[in-house]
Amino acid sequence: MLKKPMSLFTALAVIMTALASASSLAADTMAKSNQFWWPEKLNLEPLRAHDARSNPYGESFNYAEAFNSVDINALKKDIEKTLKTSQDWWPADWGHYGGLMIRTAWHSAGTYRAADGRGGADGGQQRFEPLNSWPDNASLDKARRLLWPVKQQYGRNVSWGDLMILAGNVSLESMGFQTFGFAGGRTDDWEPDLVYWGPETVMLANDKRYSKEGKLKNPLAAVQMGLIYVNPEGPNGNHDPLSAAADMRESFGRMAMNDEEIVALVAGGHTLGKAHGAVKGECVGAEPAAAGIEEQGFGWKNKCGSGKGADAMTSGLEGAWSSTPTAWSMLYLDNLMRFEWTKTKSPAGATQWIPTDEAAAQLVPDAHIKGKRNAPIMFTTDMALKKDPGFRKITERFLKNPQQFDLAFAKAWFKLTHRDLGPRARYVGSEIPAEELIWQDAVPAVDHKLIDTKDAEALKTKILKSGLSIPTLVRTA
Amino acid sequence: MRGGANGARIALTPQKNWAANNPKELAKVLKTLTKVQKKFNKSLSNGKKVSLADVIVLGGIAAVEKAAKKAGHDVAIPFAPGRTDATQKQTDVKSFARLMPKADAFRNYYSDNSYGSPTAMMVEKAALLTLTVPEMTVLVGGMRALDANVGQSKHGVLTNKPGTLNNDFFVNLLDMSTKWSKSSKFPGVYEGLDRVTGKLKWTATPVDLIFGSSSELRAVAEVYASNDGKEKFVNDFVIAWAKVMNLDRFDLK
Ligand code: HEM
Ligand code: HEM
Repeated sequence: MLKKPMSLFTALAVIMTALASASSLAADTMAKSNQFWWPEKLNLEPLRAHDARSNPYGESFNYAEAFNSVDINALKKDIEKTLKTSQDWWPADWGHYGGLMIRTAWHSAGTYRAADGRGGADGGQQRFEPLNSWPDNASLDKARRLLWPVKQQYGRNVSWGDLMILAGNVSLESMGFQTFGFAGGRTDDWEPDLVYWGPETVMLANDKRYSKEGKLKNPLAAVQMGLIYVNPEGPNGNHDPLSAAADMRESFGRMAMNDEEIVALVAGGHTLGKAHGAVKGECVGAEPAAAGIEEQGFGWKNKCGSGKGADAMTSGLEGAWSSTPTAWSMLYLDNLMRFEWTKTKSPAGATQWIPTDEAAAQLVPDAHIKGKRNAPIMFTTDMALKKDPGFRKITERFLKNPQQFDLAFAKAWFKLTHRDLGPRARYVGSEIPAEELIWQDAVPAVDHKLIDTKDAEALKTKILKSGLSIPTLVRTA
Repeated sequence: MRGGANGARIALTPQKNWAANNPKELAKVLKTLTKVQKKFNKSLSNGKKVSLADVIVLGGIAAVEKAAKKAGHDVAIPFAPGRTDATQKQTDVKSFARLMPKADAFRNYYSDNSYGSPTAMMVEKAALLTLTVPEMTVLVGGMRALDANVGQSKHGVLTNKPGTLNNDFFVNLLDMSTKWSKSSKFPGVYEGLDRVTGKLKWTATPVDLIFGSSSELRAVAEVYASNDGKEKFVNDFVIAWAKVMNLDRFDLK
């Protein structure tokens, strides 16, 4: 590299010449933390995380009030317009971004774990590493960027956390589904959460998260590092619907979802949108955290074909489950139960399932190429809804009773996307469902007058005289 | 903590000759400011006086206030006089030479003898200045709007109204109608092209683009690029600016 003395003007022309070497140099010259030298040392950083100094809106900013000032109907119209306006840099499948946005909302909320309350949509953590770069969150960088003009317009009054979930709701409604409601109130974070996502140090690894007896260790909920829940191709890609079912129960269970909710969520979600695996995995570049600075936060740059639209690559699985992927329908359940399914490979080489009936190959219109038609697909995890006896009973009941399916999906979707928000007291906005739900850990509302300070003093004296010792009282409280 | 406006050592060796200080331009500016100072001091009575250091700082304040006004915002930046001017004799040239800026992201300056990458040096400098992440962000965006790069380079000056204190840097950086790529002519420089026509719109360096690339910095850049961020941008810039200008005023604390 250049090491000759430079005048001001050459210095300007080549201001950043040293960069190529500088980036490799950065790692060596970075100040090393004590954690680096002594990994076992107690790390107090988590207690200093989310320092108020990092929040550009300052400590006094009241997000609930800000969100309450927004006209939700206008906001939803703006979102819907965005959903239906295809952008050349990431063309919408069938001209509607709904599928992508539902997946964004689900992945934003789906990191929630019941055991320690970590993860979830609150905080808008999907914007930050490691989540923004998780393999399972591929292409969601595009989804958030598509929403940026809406975020820009509403500024501090609509957090990313709320926007990602609301965009999921608007997508469902825009495609003909009646949702159960929406509550705002997710306050954005300004730095990544330090969350223990698992012991592995390699993405998609899972060699360390199971005990000897094969049990997923607490508090983890995902079966592989970097996945929200489970591997679509079955545990470790074994293509076995029955063991996939076991994985799904385990994983969704960590989020306190039962069989009926699992079937409703997976079937409902995959009624819309499509999977992307039109080209080989080698076509795709680094995730956002490792991508070049000129990518401006985008990752997974696809160098094959147009790199988008008909050549898009996200999970490596390819195709849609329903023949009307931008309209709510019973077609996912119908297809799943109507056809016999056989394993096949996507263009990217992933294992998925298509109908044995060759006539079905014409069912689904292509998302981008006019006149082209494709077969519907199922993942191994979708097949689990048919092959696992417990799931199958529910699947059959839903297929016979569309209203039951709709209501189950509406409620499970609301739970999925609102669970981490905590008690109802945090809900903000004009679309909060009136019905109380059991998972909200509700406490009854106050229906009497409260005691005042004087009463409290008198009560204190009485308690102390009651004969209960200090340690007993303290232990009880 | 060393350096700072107090002492007006920028008028002395070695600082006055540092590349990052644009020696030629600096000499002219200092001559003018010294003239202003002398004339002003003559007009003052009963022992009042202003130092060159204070004049330099007040000059900066006046410039920022005017740039804010151009953007439609009336701001008043607090000014605390009391800086004094050091003499060349009081200046340990060798010791001060160690302070020579090797990189100053705020003025889009980077030289080869930095020990870290441009972005790492930016964070290092911000840390020395005790800046928060939002303060560092608003200062860089503001300095670009003010067209305050070393050598008047246009890298990162993402505005059609340079010299106006507005949030254009952030708005244009986050605008998807621009596609960024490495310049084939100037290593380390990036070109912002119109996504549709391919026309060159802007040039920038890593300390500009990092505000769109780093997820945490982008989060803050979004705050300033939002429709409700225009006034916040000006106010936050002014507060951060005043903080930096008074960092070395241990006499005030
Ligand atoms: C067993 C659990 C699940 C697995 C393994 C799974 C896996 C996947 C995969 C691999 C894709 C393809 C991504 C791509 O290549 O673009 C996908 C797409 C999708 N998933 Fe799921 N999913 C699960 C559950 C859910 C749930 C619970 C929902 C929502 C309720 C959902 C909604 C969607 C939607 C809407 C898409 C289409 C995205 C688009 O159109 O771009 N999924 N899912
Ligand atoms: C138009 C505005 C500005 C001008 C003309 C300017 C000019 C200068 C000059 C001439 C120096 C070298 C002399 C010295 O060290 O005292 C300098 C140094 C420095 N400036 Fe500025 N500056 C400006 C704004 C800022 C801002 C906004 C910051 C921080 C946010 C900043 C931070 C520093 C620091 C830390 C140094 C010390 C040198 C080093 O450690 O590398 N300056 N500035």
